[in-house]
Amino acid sequence: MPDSGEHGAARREAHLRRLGSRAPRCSVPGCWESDPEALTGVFPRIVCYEHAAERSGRPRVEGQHPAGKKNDPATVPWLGNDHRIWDSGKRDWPERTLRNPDGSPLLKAAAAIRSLLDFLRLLLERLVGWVPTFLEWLDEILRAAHGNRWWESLGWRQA
Amino acid sequence: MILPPEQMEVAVRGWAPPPGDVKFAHRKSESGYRDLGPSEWSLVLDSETTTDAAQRLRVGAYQVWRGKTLHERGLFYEPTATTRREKRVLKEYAEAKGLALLTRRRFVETVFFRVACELRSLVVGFNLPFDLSRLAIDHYAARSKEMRGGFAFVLSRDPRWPRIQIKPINARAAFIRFTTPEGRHPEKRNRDRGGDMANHRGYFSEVAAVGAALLGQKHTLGSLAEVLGTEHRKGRADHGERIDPAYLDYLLADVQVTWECHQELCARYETYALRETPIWWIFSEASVGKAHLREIGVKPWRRTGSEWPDSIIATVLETYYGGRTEAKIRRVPTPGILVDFLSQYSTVFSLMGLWRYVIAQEIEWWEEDPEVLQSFIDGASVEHMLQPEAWLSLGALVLVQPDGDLLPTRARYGSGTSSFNVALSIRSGGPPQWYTVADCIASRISMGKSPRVLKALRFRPGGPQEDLRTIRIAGDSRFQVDPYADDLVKRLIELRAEVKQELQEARLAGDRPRGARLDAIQQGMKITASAIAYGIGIEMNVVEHARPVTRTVVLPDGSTYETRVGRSDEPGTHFNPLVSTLASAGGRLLLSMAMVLAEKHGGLYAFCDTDSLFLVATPDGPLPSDHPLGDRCLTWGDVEQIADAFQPLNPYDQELVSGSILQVEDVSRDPATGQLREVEAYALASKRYALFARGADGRPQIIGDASRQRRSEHGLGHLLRPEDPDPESDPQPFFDRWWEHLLCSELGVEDPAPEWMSLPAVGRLRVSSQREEATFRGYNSSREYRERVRPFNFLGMYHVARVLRGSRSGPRCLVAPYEARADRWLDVECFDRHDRSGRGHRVRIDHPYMVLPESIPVQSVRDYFDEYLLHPEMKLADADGRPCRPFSRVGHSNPDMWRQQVCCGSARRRRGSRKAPEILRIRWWSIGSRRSVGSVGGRSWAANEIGARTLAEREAAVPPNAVLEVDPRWQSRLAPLPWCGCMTPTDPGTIVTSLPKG
Repeated sequence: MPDSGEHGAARREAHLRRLGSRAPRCSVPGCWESDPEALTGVFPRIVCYEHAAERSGRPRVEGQHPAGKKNDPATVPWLGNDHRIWDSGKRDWPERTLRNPDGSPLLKAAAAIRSLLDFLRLLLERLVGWVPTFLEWLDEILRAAHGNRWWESLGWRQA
Repeated sequence: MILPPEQMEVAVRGWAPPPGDVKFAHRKSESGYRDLGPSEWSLVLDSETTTDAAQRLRVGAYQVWRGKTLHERGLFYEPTATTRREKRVLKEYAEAKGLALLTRRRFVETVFFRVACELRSLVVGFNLPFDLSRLAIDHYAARSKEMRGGFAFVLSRDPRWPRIQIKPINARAAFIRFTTPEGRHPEKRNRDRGGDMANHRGYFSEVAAVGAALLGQKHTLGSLAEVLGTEHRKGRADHGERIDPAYLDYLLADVQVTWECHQELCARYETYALRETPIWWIFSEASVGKAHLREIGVKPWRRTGSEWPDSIIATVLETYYGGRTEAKIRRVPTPGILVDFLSQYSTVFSLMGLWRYVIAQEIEWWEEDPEVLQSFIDGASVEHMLQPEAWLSLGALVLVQPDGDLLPTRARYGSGTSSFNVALSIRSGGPPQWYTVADCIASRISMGKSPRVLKALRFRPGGPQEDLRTIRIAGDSRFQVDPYADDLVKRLIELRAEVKQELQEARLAGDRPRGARLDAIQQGMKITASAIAYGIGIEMNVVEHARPVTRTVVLPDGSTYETRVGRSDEPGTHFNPLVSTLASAGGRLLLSMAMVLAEKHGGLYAFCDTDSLFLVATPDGPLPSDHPLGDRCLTWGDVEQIADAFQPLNPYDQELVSGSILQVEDVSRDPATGQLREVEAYALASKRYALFARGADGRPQIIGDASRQRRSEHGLGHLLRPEDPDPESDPQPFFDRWWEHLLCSELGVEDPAPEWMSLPAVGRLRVSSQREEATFRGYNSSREYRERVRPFNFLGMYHVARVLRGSRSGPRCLVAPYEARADRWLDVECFDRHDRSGRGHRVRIDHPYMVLPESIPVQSVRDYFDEYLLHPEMKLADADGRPCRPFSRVGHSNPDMWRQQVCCGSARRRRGSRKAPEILRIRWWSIGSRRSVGSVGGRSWAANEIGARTLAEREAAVPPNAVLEVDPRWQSRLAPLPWCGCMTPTDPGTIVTSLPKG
């Protein structure tokens, strides 16, 4: 029965249970990483993978196989946190596409497209994923401060 | 007229400290560990079963929700309980509707555990214990300390998945949690890395319990949906018939309605703004009260620094009784006015300043000079107690030597009864007993003399706890309560009055959403105030033990004894018996004051019930000369004067809650004009009464409004309603018809008996405890698991005809599969649950005295109706001084005649019985008759077994109203021994027979 959404949710839930927080965040000051896939440690000493790597003397940037190692051995340098998040999407791929044991070119192409989609999702999430929550939060603040029709009180007119 | 005293055994509450610290156990098993809380996922499920005694799962439905989006829905079924044809119907239906279709096993492993455990979802259901136990393939007694008395269900043999433990706490609510499975689960990995995550115990929200807690009354799924105004409504179906599309529609609709009810209840609960307490921690009204205290940050009394020895707790518990309830005028229609005290316990709580006891860092106690309290009681009068300052001095307990004092007394009233009841009786002799000062003052103002005080304990709250938080009730900044400056309970009553005004305005303006929100808020305020003022302080959770356990009972003098009990009580989180005993005693004092004032005006009352009183009154005063009450009647003006007398005791802000705390109930007023109207009361016994008006043809019509008819349901709730046994149907019409027919029969008005009178009286039996399950051990022993009667099954219970009761060879308890159609009740095959063979019996309701081997006579509804009608008010004496009998009616005008005199004596243990839910101490004098010394003296064991009075009556033909005296030789043979008994925590006034094996 489970679809990929449910698989992803179960994985995320397992991460949260291991981390010990429903809203985990890297505890290093100035770091905003909050994706459970990229976090390690336990609450309240949660750190992101990049900071954990830095502390243990490993580089923050790693080689990433965008389409999976079996499909394409080429790597691109990628930040550790994003590497983990991007890779986590691969767990929802069909097993045959990810492993591609006999090197089917169609499966290789499928893997490339899946990888591109995962990347775009990550990119969107990273670039604008935070914006709706922020806008909703800001609206609440403005309502509390200037009333329900705050835009009128502040003199803003819709174009 | 003072009646001759009768010697009786008297019981008091005792204190058996629970072994180990199990406080909050159901909520936080790993003390100090944090709980992550549920995810955004929810699983809703419902199941339908076979209609035999085993009630096996046939088919179920579920929905998986992610936030407010339906993620998936489907059906599951038990292959061994469905026919090939039914499987085909299921398959076709699932395909047509786009539903998942799974076997029970696959559902458990791929949906239930994945969603409830891996996705950490909230599991929602209506009657979850029943539905979850249907999924089980095995069960055993829960072994963990926190869930002892409950059951552990095995849903899968796969060791990765946990068991489910269920421990019922009342008819609707249960503690439910997962056990911890084997292996390295994420929480264990968190702890291995130095984290503090508690094991995942699951989150279960019982819609029935939350609904009852937030709405203040129990509901079926159908009625809950009506009240909450959900989009979909529950359908109706014949259970046990073939599975067809219509039946599956009904099943799916049930799941949808359950989810919608859950959503509506969540929205209501949101208005409470209780951030510290999630909805799945709500089990009853008391949970709501506790949630407010948690919000403020009040540390429960047992976790504060109050160092009380167990003997002091035992002393406090000895003084605890519930509300006063009695029917003074029996089986005579009486005109009058119903008055009641405004939020009685909350008012008393505020008058006595009990909020300071709730938030105190500690409650100090010391032995007070008895003379001080003796003179305080001596100086008390109704006028004195009508001054609010007097109520602040009531925080004390006194050891009293009863000598003609009117005091709450727990005894077996009436011969042949095995259960204890609480009544106010004139007490003389026997060992001293602890009482609250309020009870002593009530006795003083009623009898005109003070009880003799031998010892006294005074209590005083210490300073308030630190770091208490100001809260906003319902999240509204206008409803702010500062625990240091305000009395929360008082504020809640005041704010409720304010909200009710707003509610009225919203209704007038036709603003329905606002009206609904305000209604939810005012309901919440009422529930919270009552819970804090009274309920949670005396919360006791009953624990059923599969085998008797040893408990140490502590007595007020510090001595102890050990006893073995099958049931024991464990105090709730905010257990603070002092607050509850003072509040309930204050309530009884208010009632006594009103009675004394009525007496001073030359009147009397027909019945009282905790906070209400029916005063005999007519517009002009005297009753007709042929009325049995003679001239003991008030005018309506007198009643209003009596009510007004309580105005000084109003502790609330007069602008919000004005007037007297004793108010004429709406039922006594004309709905159109608001003027007083003529109403009559008809009472049979405590809590069995109806208020009615006569129509033009003289026919009695029960009065009240659509939501609340003024006739009691007491003693009827356990019956399956013969006119419509479906548990989902509205029970009110049955109660109405019952009382209507009863009143007509009693008042000589022609009324044909309802057809259902000739059906068997069938009760509902729910297997909710290990002890209950154990009674089916014989029946279950020869059956496979799936054919057994298991926990949370429910069955129909037939009452064997009176003539067969007590017979050793006959069946003891006849049960039958639950049958929703009353016309089949005589056709079902019953079995005796103690009979290992499970042999079936037919039942009949005619010829109870005939021996017909093929069938067993059982009680009919008519038989039960007659018993109900003649149920005597055993607490009171009849006109001739004998205990009230079935045919007793009022026939005199002296209210003193109604009190039975009780003496109590030294303690001893009663042997032989196995039931013992809660520890009590009992004191009595074993007694013998002068005439019967010779014949009875040689059989002291018999006196131990059946009681000396019964023995004396049997052996020496002593009439029941004879005065028995103690023979010193008898006393020496029956050495004083401690005794223990039981009491149900929800109704503190009722005691179940309760004796451990010696």
